[in-house]
Amino acid sequence: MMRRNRRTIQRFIISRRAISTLLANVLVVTMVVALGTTLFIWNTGVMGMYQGGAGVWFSTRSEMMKERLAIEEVWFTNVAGQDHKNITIYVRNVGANEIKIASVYVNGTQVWTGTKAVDIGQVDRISLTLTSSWAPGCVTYISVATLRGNVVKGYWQAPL
Amino acid sequence: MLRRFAGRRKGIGTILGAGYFIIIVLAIFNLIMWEFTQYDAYQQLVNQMNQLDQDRISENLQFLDPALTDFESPESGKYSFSLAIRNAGGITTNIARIYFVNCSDTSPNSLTIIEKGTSGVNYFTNGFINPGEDNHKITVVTTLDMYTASTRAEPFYIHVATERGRIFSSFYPIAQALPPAGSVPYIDIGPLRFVFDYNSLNYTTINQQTPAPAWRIPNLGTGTNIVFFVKVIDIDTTSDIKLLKYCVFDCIEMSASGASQKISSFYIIDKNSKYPPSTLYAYDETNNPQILPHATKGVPPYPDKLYPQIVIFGASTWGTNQPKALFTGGGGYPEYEYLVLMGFYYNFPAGSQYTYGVTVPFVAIRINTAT
Repeated sequence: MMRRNRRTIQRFIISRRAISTLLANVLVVTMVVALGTTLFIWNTGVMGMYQGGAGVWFSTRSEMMKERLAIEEVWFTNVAGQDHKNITIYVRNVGANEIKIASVYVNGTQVWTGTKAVDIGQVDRISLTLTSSWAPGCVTYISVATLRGNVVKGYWQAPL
Repeated sequence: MLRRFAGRRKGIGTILGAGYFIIIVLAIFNLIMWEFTQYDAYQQLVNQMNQLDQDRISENLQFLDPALTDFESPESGKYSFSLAIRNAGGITTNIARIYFVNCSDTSPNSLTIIEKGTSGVNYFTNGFINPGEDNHKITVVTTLDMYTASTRAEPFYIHVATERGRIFSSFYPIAQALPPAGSVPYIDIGPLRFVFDYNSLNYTTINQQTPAPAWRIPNLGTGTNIVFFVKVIDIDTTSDIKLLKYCVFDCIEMSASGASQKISSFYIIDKNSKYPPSTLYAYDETNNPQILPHATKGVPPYPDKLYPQIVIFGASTWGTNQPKALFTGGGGYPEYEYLVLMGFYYNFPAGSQYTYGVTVPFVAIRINTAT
């Protein structure tokens, strides 16, 4: 039995027939493995990038979507003397996420910037000091922007 | 069969390629499923926030004229009143804060913030309003004397902020149209209304124990004690009136023959009094004062609801049950006529320390005349 096997192996090595078929098989398998591996790696990278980008988009949009804020009160007052330059805004967080107020605009001009966090259901105030006095009875356009990009705006009239 | 399959060399690449293909397809499928999951979660959040927005815009609060009622001063420096509101929206509304802005003041004191609470200062209770609820009264306790402010004609903005972020505003005092001019069977003096109908002025004596109209009193002998019953209405829609013991029914004798102009003053007695002298009860303004209840504001087109009260006069001295007779002079059954003035002294609102006094030119009565 052993002798017969040894003879078969010797004949297979010595034989010159079907070499091309063998090589072709090896070549095809090698190419398939190489191309398949490359494709798999490329595909994994692309999908990972897509998944990461989409994840950030969904996450950002969700966080932004959960923000709701309301300007409860705009109080035109004189904190320092009779200069009519003070406005106090009361902002309530009525959303499902903590908000961070980033800036406040009065008539299109940024008059306050910073980071003021307001918890869910809470109300906070922002005191503004204008560079020029508000006129009695003047209609004022006020926007409050959050760090996530939501803006609440409206018109308020100063007391007569 | 298996040995032959294992021994064959053909189709290895195809199997490997197919394997890779399946792996890549599964990876893409996984990505699609992940995206579906993410999108579904996002869409659920969008729906949830849309629902919140719809709830918010469903809120609709209306201030009922005159907005503030039931003024009281429970202790020094503290004032309480009710903010009357109707929930015309389709959803329960919870008040988060109330802002009072004094329009005639731009100092740092012009804004008063009323928080939800149960004690301290500047708080309110009963801020939960069910849909359809009418004349819901939010009780406000504050350092702000809104009653005096209204009497001084100091206008205020009232901003009511809800927990969902809606703001409902009103101006106080709410402007009211004057009633149309014309012939009306009553006279209004301040918050008091005196009605002129046949039964609005009655009297009793020992001989007439059931109240009878007092426009002409027959068979009234000299020295006969008498009690007068007058119909009075508090037409104010916010505050009750507490009558003081000094209220008086003055009958000025105007006899054509004598013209003595003697005055008989009948002071207010307890509302349970009936006829003199046995069922007269002294008026106790401290422990058992007579309160005229305020009118209830009617919802258009319905008018205000008024609550007539009978005020009884019959004491010769204030705060007692000593009976009194009309001045007649002479004796027997003389004919006399009297002009009647009433002095009304009262606290308005009933629980406050604000004291008023008005003279009411009331009626003319006569006794023992033929017609």
